[in-house]
Amino acid sequence: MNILNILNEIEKVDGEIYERLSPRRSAMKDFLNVGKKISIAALPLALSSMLQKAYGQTAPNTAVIDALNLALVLEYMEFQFYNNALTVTPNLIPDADKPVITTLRDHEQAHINLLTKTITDLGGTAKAVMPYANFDYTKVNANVNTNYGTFLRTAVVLEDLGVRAYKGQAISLIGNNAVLSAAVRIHSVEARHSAQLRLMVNKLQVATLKQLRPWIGVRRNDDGTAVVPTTTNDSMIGALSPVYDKDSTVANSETKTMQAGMELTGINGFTEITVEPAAECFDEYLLTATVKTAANLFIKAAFQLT
Amino acid sequence: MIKNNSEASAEKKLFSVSTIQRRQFLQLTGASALAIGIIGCKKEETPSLTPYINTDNTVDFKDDTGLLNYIYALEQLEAAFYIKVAAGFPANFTDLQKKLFTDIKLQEIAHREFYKRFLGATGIGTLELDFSGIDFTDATSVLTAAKTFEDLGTAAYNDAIVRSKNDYNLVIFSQIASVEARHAAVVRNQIDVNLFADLNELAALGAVNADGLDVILSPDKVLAQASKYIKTKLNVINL
Repeated sequence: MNILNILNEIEKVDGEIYERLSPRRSAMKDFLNVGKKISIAALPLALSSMLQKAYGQTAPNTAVIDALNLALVLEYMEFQFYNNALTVTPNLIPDADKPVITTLRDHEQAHINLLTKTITDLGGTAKAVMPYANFDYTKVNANVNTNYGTFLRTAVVLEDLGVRAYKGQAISLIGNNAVLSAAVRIHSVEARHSAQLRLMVNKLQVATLKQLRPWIGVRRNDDGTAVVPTTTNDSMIGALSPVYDKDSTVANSETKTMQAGMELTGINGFTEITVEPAAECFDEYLLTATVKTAANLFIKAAFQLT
Repeated sequence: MIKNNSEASAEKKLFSVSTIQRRQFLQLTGASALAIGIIGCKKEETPSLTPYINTDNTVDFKDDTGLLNYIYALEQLEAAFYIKVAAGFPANFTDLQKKLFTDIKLQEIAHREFYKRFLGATGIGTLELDFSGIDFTDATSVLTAAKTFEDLGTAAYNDAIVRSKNDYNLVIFSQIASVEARHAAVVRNQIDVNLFADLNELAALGAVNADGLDVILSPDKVLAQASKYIKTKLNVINL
């Protein structure tokens, strides 16, 4: 019985065995080096315990806790933004829109409560409340507290980021259906938020955003023509591209039209599926590192995510 | 965490023998770590499997093929509905509403065609649908039906994400789930601006307002509500 043969055989049916054993390949290498020094008799036990760790359901799972804490930061970011507007600068919001902003704020509060409880229940430590002062919401425009259009556009970016972040964390939650279920149901609520806010921005008909849609894809010019992908994003702010662009190693920009190896533009002969619907019909995930980069655009230096 | 995301390898990976073996392996290790002795020491020949061809609209929930076919059926329903809406909008639809509903129609067609190609021979056929209960000349009737389809679709997708056994399918479902949720919010917004995410009203579909959680519904419950629009008999098994 050869441990490397066993791992090789497992790898044939589970290509991610090494990742399951350890998220860090270097650690796996370390183990194998140690393995050489372990006596043959001790091997089955060592391997058994290693596989138990890889495939077992033992909690607390740091990947799950980390995923939920990252989501929690984004929820603090959204909640404080809406809550500040409702309580500190209420004149910013037209009366007719106050119920919508209140709903958004209340949903984010509910998400904060649920995530905090879930993390605690799993034996983890929830990230402490981040107050309004920890955040910097001026990236769309410094007039965010006096200009309603800026306020809505900023909210759109925060929600768009939330949707992508939850999608990216879903994989980390596989195997824990209760937590995965909660995460995907928060995820679709954030998508509803994003769509609603995008409609509100569209209603304002501000220059360069007159054709903003409730779905994310290839940007449209004010005359309705499609903008060449990758040059601009839906926020019209170049610095906010991490929210809409691809991860460094994955071609998952929101403008992409290829899914599962299939080009959706003109799929199966349907020429009406042009680049716009082809990009809009799928949302894209964002991996942890990019979520942190994007979130840090809205977090003051001393409180940034590492 | 997301690996093996090479787009090109997706299709061949999905229904491959190794994927099935991997699933079985994961179940095995969940049951007993002792199994490693057998796997490691005794190498068995891979059984040759005849590729599965779906000839009788089978939706077999024993694995993700059934889940994908079930979602494909819903996408066929949605696409056909919006095609009919866009063929003759209700008289009082605004220009913006026409634009939004045309967008949704095209996205649903793209979803339908995506699954058709993704499933290939394992997919169900083109379904015969029945929209006789909907008055396509009446905006209220159209919006009410659209709201039903989108909320139901979102609930189905959220459940499918959790139910999927293959993480590749999980990613695909999650990518479309949020698009369906966007549709739902937009359609609801046309009825009343404050309905876009009314989680209290959505409680019947599994939403929990106190926790800020959206809809989620198992396939049997979704199919019970969708079946009145689907005339073709679906052979639903292992649900």
